[in-house]
Amino acid sequence: MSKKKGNILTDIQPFEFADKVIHEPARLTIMAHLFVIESADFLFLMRQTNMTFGNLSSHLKKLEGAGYVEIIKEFVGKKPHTMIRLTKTGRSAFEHYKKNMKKLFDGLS
Amino acid sequence: MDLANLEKKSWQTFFNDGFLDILLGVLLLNFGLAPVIEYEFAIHYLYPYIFMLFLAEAIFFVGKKYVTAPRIGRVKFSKRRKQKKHKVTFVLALSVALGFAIYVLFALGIVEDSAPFSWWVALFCINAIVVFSVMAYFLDFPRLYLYGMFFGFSILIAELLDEFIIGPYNALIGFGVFGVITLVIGLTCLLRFLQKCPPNGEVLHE
Repeated sequence: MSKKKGNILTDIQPFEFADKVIHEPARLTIMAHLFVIESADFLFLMRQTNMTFGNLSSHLKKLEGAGYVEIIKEFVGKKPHTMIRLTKTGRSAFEHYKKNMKKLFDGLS
Repeated sequence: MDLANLEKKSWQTFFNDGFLDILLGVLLLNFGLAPVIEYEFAIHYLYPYIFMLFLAEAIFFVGKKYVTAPRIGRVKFSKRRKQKKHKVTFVLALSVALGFAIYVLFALGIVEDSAPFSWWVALFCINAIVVFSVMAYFLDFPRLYLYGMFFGFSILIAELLDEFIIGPYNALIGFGVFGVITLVIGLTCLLRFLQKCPPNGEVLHE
């Protein structure tokens, strides 16, 4: 019986290959939105993800902390404007996450 | 999660404001109104035509800057999307060049109009439908297929009515009806957009 249990535990791989920073649903949504564009401002992301100001802000801070997103200061006319985009690390982390998830679901039967 | 669809959805957000529909509606109306103004008030049709064209463009650009941007924010799309926009510009330029070439051929008398239904009417109809369809495809904006039909049928109806109506009112009917329909679609989209998206990210239900 205990041997059988052990087998089950070895068969189910630990879920470590999924990047935990990206795996959280709200952050996954943000990353996916930023992945398909070049950059966007805070308001655009808020509209697209249906998140509140505080919620989006805190998730962006986590993503910025992980080095996945960067904040760029630009000028629109004479007014300063803040844009957000994925870093190279963020882009490759998302690609990697995508590949891993695909592998996981392809492996399910 | 379909990433291609996500990008498309983000892109299409910018058409939800209805300003492009309004611009196209005014353009269509313009084709119908300008000849009538010339006929009724003896003002060369180019003056009201150019005035309304500038007015429509001003509404479009001012609307995008002061109404749309503060409500949905700013975004820079991928290079692939920019390439698609360049393709649309190329098709539009080609269409304008074709129209101009036909105009020159008529003006110089190289080609003569064979009434009642001349080949160039068919050519303009097909040109409008093809150009708008190409734009709809590259811009991922399905309403442009409909507007292509509107432009095509406007030319056709105006030409068919020419025999039965005195003065330039055939153009007013042909272009005016579809112009008003396009304008109403645009204004409805704009009203829905204004209700749905308050400025600067204020959320209605909060």
